[in-house]
Amino acid sequence: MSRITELIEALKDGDASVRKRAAEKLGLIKDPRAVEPLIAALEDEYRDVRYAAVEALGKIKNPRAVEPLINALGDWREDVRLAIKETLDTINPNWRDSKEAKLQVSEFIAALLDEYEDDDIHSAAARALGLIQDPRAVEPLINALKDKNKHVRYAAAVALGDIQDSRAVEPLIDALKDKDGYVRSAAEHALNEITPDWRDLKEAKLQHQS
Amino acid sequence: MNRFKTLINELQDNSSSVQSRCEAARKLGIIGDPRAVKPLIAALGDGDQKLFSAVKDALDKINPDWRNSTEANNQISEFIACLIDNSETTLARRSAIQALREIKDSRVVEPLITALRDEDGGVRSMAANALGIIEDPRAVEPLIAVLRGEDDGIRHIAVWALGKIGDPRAVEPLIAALKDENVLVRMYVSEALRQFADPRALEPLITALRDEDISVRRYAAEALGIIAGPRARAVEPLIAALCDENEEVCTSAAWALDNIIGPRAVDALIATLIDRDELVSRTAAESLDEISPAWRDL
Repeated sequence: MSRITELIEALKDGDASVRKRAAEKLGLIKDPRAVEPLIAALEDEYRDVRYAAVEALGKIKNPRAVEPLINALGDWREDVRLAIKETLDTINPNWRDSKEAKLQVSEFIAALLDEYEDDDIHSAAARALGLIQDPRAVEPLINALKDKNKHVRYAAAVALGDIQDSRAVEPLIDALKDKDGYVRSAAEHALNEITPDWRDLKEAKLQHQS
Repeated sequence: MNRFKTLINELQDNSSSVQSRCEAARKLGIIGDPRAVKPLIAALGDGDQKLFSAVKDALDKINPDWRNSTEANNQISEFIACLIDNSETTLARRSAIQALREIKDSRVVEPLITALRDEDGGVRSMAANALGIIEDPRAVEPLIAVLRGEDDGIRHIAVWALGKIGDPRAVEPLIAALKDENVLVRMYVSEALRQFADPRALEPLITALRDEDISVRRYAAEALGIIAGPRARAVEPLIAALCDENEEVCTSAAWALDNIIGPRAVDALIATLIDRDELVSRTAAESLDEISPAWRDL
Protein backbone atom coordinates (compact mmCIF):
# COMPACT_ATOMS: atom_id res chain seq x y z
CA MET A 1 0.00 0.00 0.00
CA SER A 2 1.33 3.42 -0.92
CA ARG A 3 1.82 6.05 1.76
CA ILE A 4 -0.95 8.15 0.28
CA THR A 5 -3.42 5.28 0.46
CA GLU A 6 -2.33 4.64 4.00
CA LEU A 7 -3.02 8.23 4.99
CA ILE A 8 -6.39 8.13 3.26
CA GLU A 9 -7.20 4.93 5.16
CA ALA A 10 -6.10 6.61 8.36
CA LEU A 11 -8.90 9.17 7.87
CA LYS A 12 -11.22 6.33 8.92
CA ASP A 13 -9.16 5.24 11.92
CA GLY A 14 -10.96 4.64 15.19
CA ASP A 15 -8.73 7.15 16.95
CA ALA A 16 -9.69 10.78 16.36
CA SER A 17 -6.16 12.05 16.82
CA VAL A 18 -4.94 9.66 14.09
CA ARG A 19 -7.65 10.94 11.75
CA LYS A 20 -6.73 14.53 12.52
CA ARG A 21 -3.01 14.01 11.83
CA ALA A 22 -3.80 12.16 8.60
CA ALA A 23 -5.89 15.09 7.41
CA GLU A 24 -3.12 17.55 8.23
CA LYS A 25 -0.55 15.50 6.34
CA LEU A 26 -2.79 15.11 3.30
CA GLY A 27 -3.09 18.89 3.25
CA LEU A 28 0.67 19.21 3.08
CA ILE A 29 1.04 16.62 0.33
CA LYS A 30 -1.79 18.14 -1.78
CA ASP A 31 -2.46 14.93 -3.72
CA PRO A 32 -5.78 15.26 -5.59
CA ARG A 33 -6.70 11.68 -4.64
CA ALA A 34 -7.18 12.95 -1.09
CA VAL A 35 -9.97 15.40 -2.05
CA GLU A 36 -12.95 13.01 -1.84
CA PRO A 37 -11.82 11.34 1.41
CA LEU A 38 -11.24 14.77 2.97
CA ILE A 39 -14.70 15.83 1.83
CA ALA A 40 -16.10 12.79 3.62
CA ALA A 41 -14.15 13.84 6.72
CA LEU A 42 -16.14 17.10 6.80
CA GLU A 43 -18.82 15.01 8.49
CA ASP A 44 -16.51 13.56 11.13
CA GLU A 45 -18.01 13.64 14.60
CA TYR A 46 -14.90 15.31 16.06
CA ARG A 47 -14.38 19.00 15.69
CA ASP A 48 -10.58 18.69 15.39
CA VAL A 49 -10.85 16.26 12.48
CA ARG A 50 -13.39 18.41 10.64
CA TYR A 51 -11.24 21.47 11.20
CA ALA A 52 -8.12 19.70 9.87
CA ALA A 53 -10.04 18.46 6.84
CA VAL A 54 -11.21 21.99 6.02
CA GLU A 55 -7.69 23.34 6.35
CA ALA A 56 -6.33 20.55 4.14
CA LEU A 57 -8.93 21.20 1.46
CA GLY A 58 -7.93 24.87 1.58
CA LYS A 59 -4.37 23.88 0.81
CA ILE A 60 -5.25 21.50 -2.01
CA LYS A 61 -7.60 24.14 -3.54
CA ASN A 62 -9.55 21.69 -5.64
CA PRO A 63 -12.82 23.22 -6.95
CA ARG A 64 -14.66 19.94 -6.39
CA ALA A 65 -14.56 20.79 -2.69
CA VAL A 66 -16.61 23.97 -3.10
CA GLU A 67 -20.06 22.41 -3.02
CA PRO A 68 -19.46 20.13 0.00
CA LEU A 69 -17.77 22.98 1.84
CA ILE A 70 -20.77 25.23 1.24
CA ASN A 71 -23.04 22.45 2.48
CA ALA A 72 -20.86 22.12 5.58
CA LEU A 73 -21.26 25.81 6.43
CA GLY A 74 -23.99 24.81 8.85
CA ASP A 75 -21.39 23.21 11.15
CA TRP A 76 -22.38 23.84 14.73
CA ARG A 77 -18.85 24.92 15.71
CA GLU A 78 -18.11 28.53 14.99
CA ASP A 79 -14.37 28.02 14.39
CA VAL A 80 -15.10 25.31 11.82
CA ARG A 81 -17.60 27.55 10.03
CA LEU A 82 -15.10 30.39 9.87
CA ALA A 83 -12.38 28.01 8.61
CA ILE A 84 -14.76 26.85 5.88
CA LYS A 85 -15.43 30.43 4.86
CA GLU A 86 -11.67 31.13 4.69
CA THR A 87 -11.12 28.00 2.64
CA LEU A 88 -13.91 28.86 0.24
CA ASP A 89 -12.46 32.34 -0.19
CA THR A 90 -9.11 30.70 -1.02
CA ILE A 91 -10.49 28.21 -3.55
CA ASN A 92 -12.94 30.57 -5.27
CA PRO A 93 -13.40 34.16 -4.08
CA ASN A 94 -16.74 34.27 -5.94
CA TRP A 95 -18.14 31.18 -4.22
CA ARG A 96 -21.09 33.17 -2.88
CA ASP A 97 -22.41 33.67 -6.41
CA SER A 98 -22.15 29.98 -7.29
CA LYS A 99 -25.23 27.89 -8.03
CA GLU A 100 -24.33 25.64 -5.09
CA ALA A 101 -24.40 28.60 -2.70
CA LYS A 102 -27.84 29.67 -3.97
CA LEU A 103 -29.21 26.15 -3.56
CA GLN A 104 -27.73 25.81 -0.13
CA VAL A 105 -29.33 29.08 0.98
CA SER A 106 -32.69 27.33 0.53
CA GLU A 107 -31.48 24.47 2.73
CA PHE A 108 -30.36 26.76 5.52
CA ILE A 109 -33.53 28.85 5.44
CA ALA A 110 -35.53 25.62 5.53
CA ALA A 111 -33.48 24.51 8.55
CA LEU A 112 -34.08 27.85 10.25
CA LEU A 113 -37.83 27.49 9.67
CA ASP A 114 -37.98 23.84 10.74
CA GLU A 115 -39.73 23.87 14.11
CA TYR A 116 -38.78 20.23 14.73
CA GLU A 117 -35.08 21.07 14.74
CA ASP A 118 -33.33 22.19 17.90
CA ASP A 119 -31.89 25.59 18.72
CA ASP A 120 -28.32 24.56 17.84
CA ILE A 121 -29.35 23.74 14.28
CA HIS A 122 -31.31 26.97 14.02
CA SER A 123 -28.36 29.02 15.29
CA ALA A 124 -25.88 27.28 12.98
CA ALA A 125 -28.20 27.77 9.99
CA ALA A 126 -28.54 31.46 10.82
CA ARG A 127 -24.78 31.90 11.03
CA ALA A 128 -24.28 30.03 7.76
CA LEU A 129 -26.79 32.33 6.07
CA GLY A 130 -24.76 35.26 7.34
CA LEU A 131 -21.63 33.82 5.78
CA ILE A 132 -23.29 33.27 2.40
CA GLN A 133 -24.80 36.78 2.49
CA ASP A 134 -27.72 36.06 0.19
CA PRO A 135 -30.45 38.75 0.44
CA ARG A 136 -33.15 36.04 0.51
CA ALA A 137 -32.03 35.26 4.05
CA VAL A 138 -32.75 38.74 5.39
CA GLU A 139 -36.48 38.36 6.11
CA PRO A 140 -36.21 34.95 7.78
CA LEU A 141 -33.29 36.20 9.88
CA ILE A 142 -35.28 39.27 10.92
CA ASN A 143 -38.02 36.89 12.09
CA ALA A 144 -35.40 34.86 13.97
CA LEU A 145 -34.51 38.00 15.96
CA LYS A 146 -37.75 37.27 17.81
CA ASP A 147 -37.00 33.59 18.42
CA LYS A 148 -37.68 32.40 21.96
CA ASN A 149 -34.14 31.07 22.27
CA LYS A 150 -31.42 33.63 22.99
CA HIS A 151 -28.73 31.74 21.06
CA VAL A 152 -30.87 31.82 17.94
CA ARG A 153 -31.58 35.54 18.39
CA TYR A 154 -27.86 36.16 18.86
CA ALA A 155 -26.97 34.17 15.73
CA ALA A 156 -29.59 36.05 13.72
CA ALA A 157 -28.21 39.41 14.83
CA VAL A 158 -24.64 38.43 13.94
CA ALA A 159 -25.78 37.09 10.57
CA LEU A 160 -27.68 40.27 9.76
CA GLY A 161 -24.50 42.19 10.51
CA ASP A 162 -22.68 39.94 8.05
CA ILE A 163 -25.24 40.47 5.30
CA GLN A 164 -25.46 44.24 5.84
CA ASP A 165 -28.89 44.72 4.32
CA SER A 166 -30.62 47.97 5.30
CA ARG A 167 -33.96 46.18 5.80
CA ALA A 168 -32.47 44.84 9.03
CA VAL A 169 -31.78 48.24 10.60
CA GLU A 170 -35.15 48.80 12.27
CA PRO A 171 -35.54 45.24 13.56
CA LEU A 172 -31.99 45.41 14.94
CA ILE A 173 -32.76 48.70 16.67
CA ASP A 174 -35.70 46.89 18.28
CA ALA A 175 -33.31 44.08 19.26
CA LEU A 176 -31.27 46.61 21.28
CA LYS A 177 -34.04 46.15 23.86
CA ASP A 178 -33.56 42.35 23.99
CA LYS A 179 -33.56 40.96 27.51
CA ASP A 180 -30.28 39.16 26.83
CA GLY A 181 -27.07 41.19 26.96
CA TYR A 182 -25.25 39.17 24.29
CA VAL A 183 -28.11 39.67 21.87
CA ARG A 184 -28.12 43.40 22.59
CA SER A 185 -24.40 43.77 21.93
CA ALA A 186 -24.60 41.59 18.81
CA ALA A 187 -27.41 43.83 17.54
CA GLU A 188 -25.36 46.94 18.21
CA HIS A 189 -22.35 45.45 16.48
CA ALA A 190 -24.49 44.46 13.50
CA LEU A 191 -25.94 47.96 13.26
CA ASN A 192 -22.42 49.40 13.18
CA GLU A 193 -21.63 47.00 10.33
CA ILE A 194 -24.69 48.01 8.33
CA THR A 195 -24.63 51.77 8.78
CA PRO A 196 -22.66 54.03 11.11
CA ASP A 197 -25.65 56.39 11.02
CA TRP A 198 -28.01 54.03 12.77
CA ARG A 199 -28.12 56.18 15.91
CA ASP A 200 -29.60 59.03 13.91
CA LEU A 201 -32.21 56.66 12.52
CA LYS A 202 -33.03 55.52 16.02
CA GLU A 203 -33.51 59.14 17.14
CA ALA A 204 -35.74 59.79 14.16
CA LYS A 205 -37.79 56.72 14.96
CA LEU A 206 -38.21 57.74 18.59
CA GLN A 207 -39.28 61.23 17.60
CA HIS A 208 -41.70 59.78 15.13
CA GLN A 209 -43.25 57.69 17.88
CA SER A 210 -43.59 60.52 20.38
CA MET B 1 -30.50 15.60 4.12
CA ASN B 2 -32.24 17.77 1.62
CA ARG B 3 -34.65 20.00 3.50
CA PHE B 4 -35.81 21.91 0.45
CA LYS B 5 -36.79 18.68 -1.35
CA THR B 6 -38.56 17.56 1.81
CA LEU B 7 -40.66 20.72 1.81
CA ILE B 8 -41.58 20.19 -1.84
CA ASN B 9 -42.60 16.60 -1.01
CA GLU B 10 -44.71 17.82 1.90
CA LEU B 11 -46.42 20.32 -0.40
CA GLN B 12 -47.20 17.66 -2.99
CA ASP B 13 -48.32 14.96 -0.56
CA ASN B 14 -52.06 14.55 -1.17
CA SER B 15 -52.38 12.18 1.77
CA SER B 16 -50.95 14.76 4.14
CA SER B 17 -53.10 17.21 6.12
CA VAL B 18 -54.01 20.53 4.52
CA GLN B 19 -52.38 22.29 7.42
CA SER B 20 -48.97 20.70 6.88
CA ARG B 21 -49.19 21.31 3.14
CA CYS B 22 -50.03 24.99 3.78
CA GLU B 23 -47.11 25.17 6.18
CA ALA B 24 -44.78 23.77 3.52
CA ALA B 25 -46.10 26.33 1.03
CA ARG B 26 -45.57 29.14 3.50
CA LYS B 27 -41.96 28.09 4.13
CA LEU B 28 -41.26 27.74 0.42
CA GLY B 29 -42.51 31.31 0.02
CA ILE B 30 -40.10 32.53 2.68
CA ILE B 31 -37.19 30.60 1.21
CA GLY B 32 -37.82 32.22 -2.16
CA ASP B 33 -36.12 29.54 -4.24
CA PRO B 34 -37.43 29.60 -7.84
CA ARG B 35 -37.32 25.79 -8.00
CA ALA B 36 -40.50 25.87 -5.89
CA VAL B 37 -42.51 27.75 -8.54
CA LYS B 38 -43.42 24.72 -10.62
CA PRO B 39 -44.73 22.49 -7.81
CA LEU B 40 -46.52 25.45 -6.25
CA ILE B 41 -48.36 26.31 -9.46
CA ALA B 42 -49.36 22.67 -9.85
CA ALA B 43 -50.72 22.74 -6.29
CA LEU B 44 -53.08 25.58 -7.27
CA GLY B 45 -55.28 22.90 -8.82
CA ASP B 46 -55.55 20.76 -5.70
CA GLY B 47 -58.94 22.09 -4.73
CA ASP B 48 -58.59 23.14 -1.13
CA GLN B 49 -59.32 26.81 -0.46
CA LYS B 50 -56.82 27.19 2.35
CA LEU B 51 -54.06 25.54 0.39
CA PHE B 52 -54.96 27.62 -2.64
CA SER B 53 -54.44 30.91 -0.85
CA ALA B 54 -51.30 29.71 0.94
CA VAL B 55 -49.84 28.65 -2.39
CA LYS B 56 -50.80 31.93 -4.03
CA ASP B 57 -49.12 33.91 -1.23
CA ALA B 58 -45.97 31.81 -1.59
CA LEU B 59 -45.87 32.35 -5.36
CA ASP B 60 -46.32 36.10 -4.95
CA LYS B 61 -43.40 36.10 -2.53
CA ILE B 62 -41.06 34.10 -4.73
CA ASN B 63 -41.86 35.89 -7.97
CA PRO B 64 -44.58 38.56 -8.22
CA ASP B 65 -44.61 37.92 -11.96
CA TRP B 66 -45.15 34.15 -11.61
CA ARG B 67 -48.25 34.27 -13.82
CA ASN B 68 -46.00 34.98 -16.79
CA SER B 69 -43.43 32.32 -15.95
CA THR B 70 -42.66 29.35 -18.17
CA GLU B 71 -43.84 27.11 -15.35
CA ALA B 72 -47.25 28.81 -15.32
CA ASN B 73 -47.47 28.61 -19.07
CA ASN B 74 -46.84 24.87 -18.99
CA GLN B 75 -49.22 24.26 -16.14
CA ILE B 76 -52.06 26.12 -17.91
CA SER B 77 -52.11 23.33 -20.48
CA GLU B 78 -52.44 20.77 -17.67
CA PHE B 79 -55.33 22.64 -16.09
CA ILE B 80 -57.13 23.09 -19.41
CA ALA B 81 -56.67 19.39 -20.17
CA CYS B 82 -58.21 18.58 -16.79
CA LEU B 83 -61.12 20.98 -17.35
CA ILE B 84 -62.08 19.47 -20.69
CA ASP B 85 -61.64 15.88 -19.52
CA ASN B 86 -65.17 14.74 -18.69
CA SER B 87 -63.89 11.60 -17.02
CA GLU B 88 -62.25 13.76 -14.33
CA THR B 89 -64.08 14.32 -11.04
CA THR B 90 -66.10 17.52 -10.85
CA LEU B 91 -63.98 18.58 -7.90
CA ALA B 92 -60.82 18.34 -10.00
CA ARG B 93 -62.45 20.24 -12.86
CA ARG B 94 -63.76 22.98 -10.57
CA SER B 95 -60.30 23.27 -9.03
CA ALA B 96 -58.78 23.59 -12.48
CA ILE B 97 -61.08 26.54 -13.19
CA GLN B 98 -60.13 28.13 -9.93
CA ALA B 99 -56.47 27.85 -10.84
CA LEU B 100 -56.99 29.10 -14.39
CA ARG B 101 -59.00 32.05 -13.11
CA GLU B 102 -56.00 32.98 -10.99
CA ILE B 103 -53.45 32.74 -13.78
CA LYS B 104 -55.69 34.71 -16.18
CA ASP B 105 -54.26 33.50 -19.45
CA SER B 106 -56.15 34.29 -22.65
CA ARG B 107 -55.80 30.66 -23.77
CA VAL B 108 -58.41 29.64 -21.22
CA VAL B 109 -61.23 31.78 -22.63
CA GLU B 110 -62.45 29.26 -25.23
CA PRO B 111 -62.47 26.26 -22.86
CA LEU B 112 -64.29 28.34 -20.27
CA ILE B 113 -66.92 29.36 -22.83
CA THR B 114 -67.45 25.67 -23.58
CA ALA B 115 -67.71 25.00 -19.85
CA LEU B 116 -70.70 27.40 -19.66
CA ARG B 117 -72.72 24.43 -20.98
CA ASP B 118 -71.09 21.82 -18.75
CA GLU B 119 -73.15 19.07 -17.13
CA ASP B 120 -72.03 20.17 -13.68
CA GLY B 121 -73.69 23.27 -12.22
CA GLY B 122 -70.63 24.13 -10.18
CA VAL B 123 -68.42 24.02 -13.26
CA ARG B 124 -70.90 26.23 -15.17
CA SER B 125 -71.07 28.90 -12.49
CA MET B 126 -67.33 28.91 -11.92
CA ALA B 127 -66.78 29.25 -15.65
CA ALA B 128 -69.11 32.26 -15.83
CA ASN B 129 -67.39 33.80 -12.85
CA ALA B 130 -63.93 33.15 -14.29
CA LEU B 131 -64.91 34.79 -17.58
CA GLY B 132 -65.89 37.90 -15.62
CA ILE B 133 -62.54 37.92 -13.87
CA ILE B 134 -60.53 37.38 -17.03
CA GLU B 135 -62.49 40.15 -18.82
CA ASP B 136 -61.93 38.92 -22.35
CA PRO B 137 -64.38 40.40 -24.92
CA ARG B 138 -64.72 37.01 -26.65
CA ALA B 139 -66.92 35.97 -23.74
CA VAL B 140 -69.53 38.72 -24.31
CA GLU B 141 -71.84 36.96 -26.79
CA PRO B 142 -71.74 33.59 -24.99
CA LEU B 143 -72.54 35.32 -21.70
CA ILE B 144 -75.44 37.20 -23.32
CA ALA B 145 -76.69 33.82 -24.54
CA VAL B 146 -76.57 32.56 -20.94
CA LEU B 147 -78.49 35.62 -19.77
CA ARG B 148 -81.18 34.94 -22.36
CA GLY B 149 -81.18 31.22 -21.64
CA GLU B 150 -82.87 29.19 -18.95
CA ASP B 151 -79.97 28.25 -16.67
CA ASP B 152 -81.27 30.15 -13.64
CA GLY B 153 -78.37 29.01 -11.49
CA ILE B 154 -75.89 31.11 -13.44
CA ARG B 155 -77.85 33.81 -15.31
CA HIS B 156 -77.07 36.38 -12.61
CA ILE B 157 -73.38 35.42 -12.72
CA ALA B 158 -73.38 36.00 -16.46
CA VAL B 159 -74.86 39.45 -15.79
CA TRP B 160 -72.16 40.17 -13.26
CA ALA B 161 -69.49 39.05 -15.71
CA LEU B 162 -70.95 41.22 -18.48
CA GLY B 163 -70.82 44.23 -16.17
CA LYS B 164 -67.23 43.39 -15.33
CA ILE B 165 -66.17 43.07 -18.97
CA GLY B 166 -67.94 46.37 -19.74
CA ASP B 167 -68.50 45.73 -23.42
CA PRO B 168 -71.29 48.02 -24.84
CA ARG B 169 -72.81 45.05 -26.72
CA ALA B 170 -74.18 43.96 -23.36
CA VAL B 171 -76.20 47.13 -22.70
CA GLU B 172 -79.37 46.32 -24.69
CA PRO B 173 -79.71 42.76 -23.34
CA LEU B 174 -79.07 44.05 -19.82
CA ILE B 175 -81.74 46.74 -20.15
CA ALA B 176 -84.20 44.13 -21.33
CA ALA B 177 -83.30 42.04 -18.27
CA LEU B 178 -84.34 44.84 -15.89
CA LYS B 179 -87.82 43.33 -16.28
CA ASP B 180 -86.58 39.77 -15.63
CA GLU B 181 -88.65 37.61 -13.31
CA ASN B 182 -85.56 36.50 -11.42
CA VAL B 183 -84.83 39.07 -8.72
CA LEU B 184 -81.16 38.09 -8.54
CA VAL B 185 -80.84 38.84 -12.23
CA ARG B 186 -82.53 42.24 -11.85
CA MET B 187 -80.25 43.07 -8.94
CA TYR B 188 -77.05 42.31 -10.85
CA VAL B 189 -78.42 44.06 -13.93
CA SER B 190 -79.07 47.31 -12.08
CA GLU B 191 -75.59 47.08 -10.60
CA ALA B 192 -74.06 46.41 -14.01
CA LEU B 193 -75.95 49.29 -15.61
CA ARG B 194 -74.52 51.58 -12.98
CA GLN B 195 -71.09 50.76 -14.40
CA PHE B 196 -72.09 51.34 -18.02
CA ALA B 197 -73.75 54.76 -17.40
CA ASP B 198 -75.32 54.37 -20.83
CA PRO B 199 -78.08 56.93 -21.69
CA ARG B 200 -80.26 54.20 -23.20
CA ALA B 201 -80.79 52.89 -19.68
CA LEU B 202 -82.32 56.14 -18.40
CA GLU B 203 -86.05 55.40 -18.69
CA PRO B 204 -85.77 51.70 -17.71
CA LEU B 205 -83.79 52.69 -14.61
CA ILE B 206 -86.41 55.26 -13.66
CA THR B 207 -88.98 52.48 -13.84
CA ALA B 208 -86.66 50.30 -11.73
CA LEU B 209 -86.77 52.87 -8.94
CA ARG B 210 -90.15 51.31 -8.14
CA ASP B 211 -88.91 47.70 -8.26
CA GLU B 212 -90.09 45.48 -5.39
CA ASP B 213 -86.48 44.67 -4.47
CA ILE B 214 -84.45 47.07 -2.31
CA SER B 215 -81.11 46.38 -3.99
CA VAL B 216 -82.56 46.94 -7.44
CA ARG B 217 -84.02 50.30 -6.36
CA ARG B 218 -80.77 51.26 -4.73
CA TYR B 219 -78.49 50.43 -7.66
CA ALA B 220 -80.98 52.05 -10.04
CA ALA B 221 -80.82 55.28 -8.04
CA GLU B 222 -77.03 55.23 -8.04
CA ALA B 223 -76.94 54.45 -11.75
CA LEU B 224 -79.16 57.45 -12.45
CA GLY B 225 -76.74 59.63 -10.52
CA ILE B 226 -73.93 58.94 -12.96
CA ILE B 227 -75.77 58.17 -16.16
CA ALA B 228 -74.82 60.10 -19.27
CA GLY B 229 -77.46 62.07 -21.18
CA PRO B 230 -80.55 64.07 -20.12
CA ARG B 231 -80.38 63.36 -16.43
CA ALA B 232 -82.88 66.06 -15.46
CA ARG B 233 -85.59 63.52 -16.35
CA ALA B 234 -84.42 61.51 -13.34
CA VAL B 235 -84.65 64.32 -10.79
CA GLU B 236 -88.34 64.01 -9.96
CA PRO B 237 -88.35 60.22 -9.60
CA LEU B 238 -85.21 60.45 -7.47
CA ILE B 239 -86.82 63.00 -5.21
CA ALA B 240 -89.69 60.59 -4.78
CA ALA B 241 -87.11 57.92 -3.94
CA LEU B 242 -85.78 60.13 -1.14
CA CYS B 243 -88.82 58.99 0.75
CA ASP B 244 -88.32 55.29 0.00
CA GLU B 245 -89.27 53.00 2.89
CA ASN B 246 -85.67 51.72 2.89
CA GLU B 247 -83.01 54.01 4.27
CA GLU B 248 -80.27 52.77 1.94
CA VAL B 249 -82.39 53.57 -1.08
CA CYS B 250 -82.93 57.10 0.33
CA THR B 251 -79.19 57.53 0.79
CA SER B 252 -78.47 56.36 -2.75
CA ALA B 253 -81.14 58.68 -4.14
CA ALA B 254 -79.65 61.60 -2.21
CA TRP B 255 -76.21 60.70 -3.50
CA ALA B 256 -77.54 60.62 -7.05
CA LEU B 257 -79.24 63.98 -6.63
CA ASP B 258 -75.96 65.34 -5.22
CA ASN B 259 -74.35 64.33 -8.45
CA ILE B 260 -77.04 65.78 -10.68
CA ILE B 261 -77.94 69.08 -9.05
CA GLY B 262 -75.18 69.63 -6.52
CA PRO B 263 -74.96 68.96 -2.80
CA ARG B 264 -76.24 72.28 -1.48
CA ALA B 265 -79.38 72.10 -3.56
CA VAL B 266 -80.05 68.62 -2.26
CA ASP B 267 -79.47 69.61 1.36
CA ALA B 268 -81.94 72.42 1.00
CA LEU B 269 -84.36 70.16 -0.78
CA ILE B 270 -84.18 67.51 1.88
CA ALA B 271 -84.71 70.14 4.55
CA THR B 272 -87.81 71.28 2.72
CA LEU B 273 -89.08 67.76 2.33
CA ILE B 274 -88.24 66.59 5.82
CA ASP B 275 -91.89 66.31 6.64
CA ARG B 276 -93.42 63.70 4.38
CA ASP B 277 -96.84 65.27 4.58
CA GLU B 278 -95.34 68.37 3.16
CA LEU B 279 -93.94 66.31 0.32
CA VAL B 280 -97.43 65.23 -0.42
CA SER B 281 -98.62 68.81 -0.40
CA ARG B 282 -95.84 70.19 -2.55
CA THR B 283 -94.62 68.55 -5.65
CA ALA B 284 -90.96 67.93 -5.92
CA ALA B 285 -90.73 70.02 -9.01
CA GLU B 286 -92.04 73.05 -7.16
CA SER B 287 -89.43 72.66 -4.47
CA LEU B 288 -86.71 72.49 -7.01
CA ASP B 289 -88.04 75.50 -8.83
CA GLU B 290 -87.53 77.46 -5.64
CA ILE B 291 -84.03 76.17 -4.92
CA SER B 292 -82.53 75.97 -8.33
CA PRO B 293 -84.73 77.37 -11.08
CA ALA B 294 -82.23 76.26 -13.67
CA TRP B 295 -82.61 72.55 -12.89
CA ARG B 296 -84.76 71.89 -15.92
CA ASP B 297 -81.84 72.85 -18.14
CA LEU B 298 -79.52 70.22 -16.65
